[in-house]
Amino acid sequence: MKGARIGLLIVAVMGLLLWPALGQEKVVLHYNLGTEPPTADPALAEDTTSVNIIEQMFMGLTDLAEDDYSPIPELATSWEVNEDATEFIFHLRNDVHWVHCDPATGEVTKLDRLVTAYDVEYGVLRTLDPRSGSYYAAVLLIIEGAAEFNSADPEAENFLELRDAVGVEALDEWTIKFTLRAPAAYFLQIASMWVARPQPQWVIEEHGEQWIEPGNIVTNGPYCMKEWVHEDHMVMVKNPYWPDWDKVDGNIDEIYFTMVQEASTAFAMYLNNELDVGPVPLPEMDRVKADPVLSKELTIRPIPCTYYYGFITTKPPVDDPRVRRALSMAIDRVTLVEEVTKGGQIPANTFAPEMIFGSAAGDTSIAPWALPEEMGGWGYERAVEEARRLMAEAGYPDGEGLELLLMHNVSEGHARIAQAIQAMWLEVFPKASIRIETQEWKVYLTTLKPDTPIENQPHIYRLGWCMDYPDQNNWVHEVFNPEEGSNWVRMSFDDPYVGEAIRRFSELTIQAQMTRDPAERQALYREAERLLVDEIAAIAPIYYYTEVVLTKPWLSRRWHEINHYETWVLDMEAKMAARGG
Amino acid sequence: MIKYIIRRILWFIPVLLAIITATFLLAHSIPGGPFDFAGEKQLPESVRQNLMRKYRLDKPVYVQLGLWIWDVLRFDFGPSYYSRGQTVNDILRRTFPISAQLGVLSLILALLIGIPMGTIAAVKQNTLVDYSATFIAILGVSIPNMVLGPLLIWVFSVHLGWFPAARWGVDYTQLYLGIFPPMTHKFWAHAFLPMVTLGTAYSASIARLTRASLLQVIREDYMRTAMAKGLHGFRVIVVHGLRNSLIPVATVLGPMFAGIVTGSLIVERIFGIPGMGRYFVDSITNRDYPVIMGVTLVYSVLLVAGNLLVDLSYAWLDPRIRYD
Repeated sequence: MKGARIGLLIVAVMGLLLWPALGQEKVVLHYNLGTEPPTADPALAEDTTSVNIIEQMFMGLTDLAEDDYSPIPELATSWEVNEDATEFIFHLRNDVHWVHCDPATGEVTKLDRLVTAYDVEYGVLRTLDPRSGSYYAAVLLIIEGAAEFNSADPEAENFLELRDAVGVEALDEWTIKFTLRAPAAYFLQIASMWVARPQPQWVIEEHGEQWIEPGNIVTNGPYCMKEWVHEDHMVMVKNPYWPDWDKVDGNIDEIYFTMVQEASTAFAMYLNNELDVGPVPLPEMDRVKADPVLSKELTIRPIPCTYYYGFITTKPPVDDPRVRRALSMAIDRVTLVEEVTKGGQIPANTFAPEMIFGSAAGDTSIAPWALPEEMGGWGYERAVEEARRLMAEAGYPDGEGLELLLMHNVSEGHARIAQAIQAMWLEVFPKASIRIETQEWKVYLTTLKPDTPIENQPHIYRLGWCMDYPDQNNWVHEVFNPEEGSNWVRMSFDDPYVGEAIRRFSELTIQAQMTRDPAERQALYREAERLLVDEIAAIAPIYYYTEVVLTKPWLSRRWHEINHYETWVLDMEAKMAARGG
Repeated sequence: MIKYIIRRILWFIPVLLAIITATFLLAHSIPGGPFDFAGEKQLPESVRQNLMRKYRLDKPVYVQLGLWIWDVLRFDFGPSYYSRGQTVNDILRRTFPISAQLGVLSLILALLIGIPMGTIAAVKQNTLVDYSATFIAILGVSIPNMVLGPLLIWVFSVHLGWFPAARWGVDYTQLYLGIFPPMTHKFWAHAFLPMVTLGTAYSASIARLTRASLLQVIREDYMRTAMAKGLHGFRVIVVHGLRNSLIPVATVLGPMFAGIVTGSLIVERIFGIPGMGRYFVDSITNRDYPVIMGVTLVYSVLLVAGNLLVDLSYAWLDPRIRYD
C-alpha cells in the first residue's frame, strides 16, 4: 500500500518535470480587472469592466478599428445604408457557432447552433424590453418604436404589438434590418456596442438572470467563461471554434482575471510577477518613470475621455461669456498635467478627443488659448493677458467683485486639480473670491440636474465624459444640445449674450445626424465645437485622459479601445522563468 | 439564568425591527436614487421607470418597508441593484465567511498578543519592560492599517518574497459547511499578512486596556490578602487578578467582535480580499438599498448577540454578578 503510494508520487513528480518538455504548456495571461464586473449580460452592462468581459464572449455586428475606431466588419461582413441614414441592413457571416464551456474541465463544446440574425434580433429586443431594466437601452432608443416599447407597461394589452413594432427585423437567418426613427449616420458605431449583440434565447429562458453564470452561459466570441468566483477571480478559456483564429496572431489559451481594487496592491502584484499587466499608482509615478526597468515597461496612451469644467450659463456672473472665456483661458493646462495629474494627459482645447469621429482636438482655430505654443496655441502667458483684458471688460478688473463657487464630487484627485485651478485663477484675478465645495457623487449629480433650483447650483462644476460610441453625436449632441441633450450647462436660445450662437450650435448637431457625407459632418461638428468651447464657452475643456499601464516584457499586446486578448502574444517560457526565479 | 437569556433574546426582536426601519428610512432619504444615473449619464425617464418598477421602488415607501420586513422574516434580502442577477443572500453567503475567517484569526492574534503584553506591563509597572510594551502598544494603535498593510506587502512580499502580495487563499466554493476554510499552506500564506495587519491594531488596544485595569485590581484588598496568604505571585496575578481585570476587556470585545468579523474595509481592500467590508461603503455609494440593509442587519445581529455574550461572561469573570 505504502509502496503504491510512493510509486504514484514518483509518477506524479516525473509528470510534472516532463510537463514543459512535452510542449503542452498552456499560455496563461494574468490580468487584473480592478473590480468585480457587476454583470456579464450584454443587455444589462453599463460599466467598462463588464463591457471588457462581454467583448471576449460575444461578437458584435461591427467592431471598432484599433487605430481610428472606425466601424469594421465582425459578425456582419457587409452592410447597406439608405440615402437618409434611417435604414441599416447588415449581412451576417454564417460560420460562427454558439459554444458552451464546462466549468469542471474547461472543455469547450460546439453547439449545433449557428449565430443568426434571429439571435441579434432577440438580443436587441431583450435589451429594450422594459422588464429587463437595461440602462443602456438608452442608446437603442434611436430605433423606430423602441422608445414606445421601452416605456410600455408590460401588463398592457398592446405590449406584444409594441414589441413587434420595434424597427429591428431578421429578414432571414443572415440578414438583419434596423429602421430608425431619425437619421443616424453614427448607427454603425452603435452596432458595435454590447447592447446590440446576439443573445441565446433558449439559455436565457431556461436560467433567467442566472444565465451568465459559468455552466449556464453560452457564448460565441474568442473566449468563453470557465469559472467566475465572484469578487475573487474569473477564468476564461480559448474558444477553439471561434472562426477567426487564423486571422489573428494571439496565442493566449487562458485568461486569469483577478479583481483587486487597490492600485498599490495591484502594482505590488505586478512587481511580484503575479500579474502581466499592472497599473501605476499616482504616488509611484515619478519613481516608475525614473526606474531603468519599469520605465521601459510603461505605456501612456490616450483614451476617449475628457475632463472638463462646465459653467452654469444662466447663473451670474458666469452668464457673461467673457467671464467664462477668461476663466477658461486662465487655466494653465500644461502645468496642471505635468505637476498635478502626472499621467501624461493631453491639454484639451475641445470637448471630444482626437479619436472621436468629428473631433477637432488640437485644431488651433478653436480655443487656441488652451494650447501651448508647441502645439500651435497661444501659450499660457498670452492667454493670461487676454483673460485679464476680458475680465476687466466684463466689469471685474483683477477679479474685483467676482464671487464664484466651484464644485466637484469628493475625491482626492479632483480636489488636487480644483485647488490647483483655484490658485491659477487667484493668481490671474487676485481680487476674486473663489470657493470650492464638494459633495458625494450621487448627491453631486442630483445637484447638477437641470431641475435643481439654480440657487442650489455652483457656478462651475467638474465632470468627465467617456465615449459610448466614437462619434461626436455621443459628445456635443447628447451631452450639450439644448433641446435634445442633457445640457447641464443650461444653454438657452434666449441667452442675452450668445443666444444666436446657441441656436446655431443646436441646429448644427441636429443637422450632422442627418448628414451622411463624412467630410460634411466633420465640418459641421468642427463649427459646433468652436461655438461650444470658444464663442459660447459653455465649458472649459481641461485635458484628455490617458491610460497608464505597465506591461511585462514577455507580453506583446495591442491597443484596441476594449482589450482584444485574441491579438495578444505571450512568451510563456520567459514568464515561467521569471516567476520561478 | 436561562430566563434571563430568553428575555434578552426576546428583546432582540424590537431592537432589530427598529434598526431595520431606521436603516430603511435613512437609506431612502439620501439624495440621488439608485437608478437616476449610469455613471455621470442621466437616464431617459422610461429606462428609470423600468428599473424602479422591476425593483418595486415605484410603490409607496410604507409598502416597500412592509414588503422588506416580510422578506427579512423569510431570510430573503432581495436582489442587488448593482450586481445584476445576484441576490443579497448570494453576496452575504460568499463574503461573510471570508470576513469572518480573517476577523476571528485577527481577534485570536490580538488576544494572544494583547493580554500577555498588558499583564507584563502592569506587573512590571514603571520598568523598562512596561515602557517598551506601552511604546509598542501606542505604535500599534497609531499606525493605521492603510500604512501597515502596504508596508508589510512591500517588505515581506515584494522584497523578501515570503508571502503572496494579495488575495485570500480560498474562495467561497471551497469552504466546509460554507464557513470553515481548509487549513492548507496556501490558506495560511495568504492569511498571514492581513491577519497581522488587522490583529496588531486590536492587540494594542487590548494591551492598554488590560494594563490599566490590572493596575487597579492589583491594589485591591483581596489581592493583598492573597499575597499575604503566601500564594505564589504568578498564581495571584493570573487567577485572582487577571480574571477580574478582564471585565473591561470583555466589554469592548463584544462590539469589537461584531466589527471585526463583518470585515475591515481597509484591510480587505489593501489585500484584495473578497470580504464583506467593502459593501458597507459601496452599497451606499451605489444606493444599493437591499445590500445596505442586508449588511447592516448582519452587523446588528452580531452586535446584539456579542453584547449578550459579554453580559453572560461577566457572571463567569466576576462571581458576584448574578442574573436572576
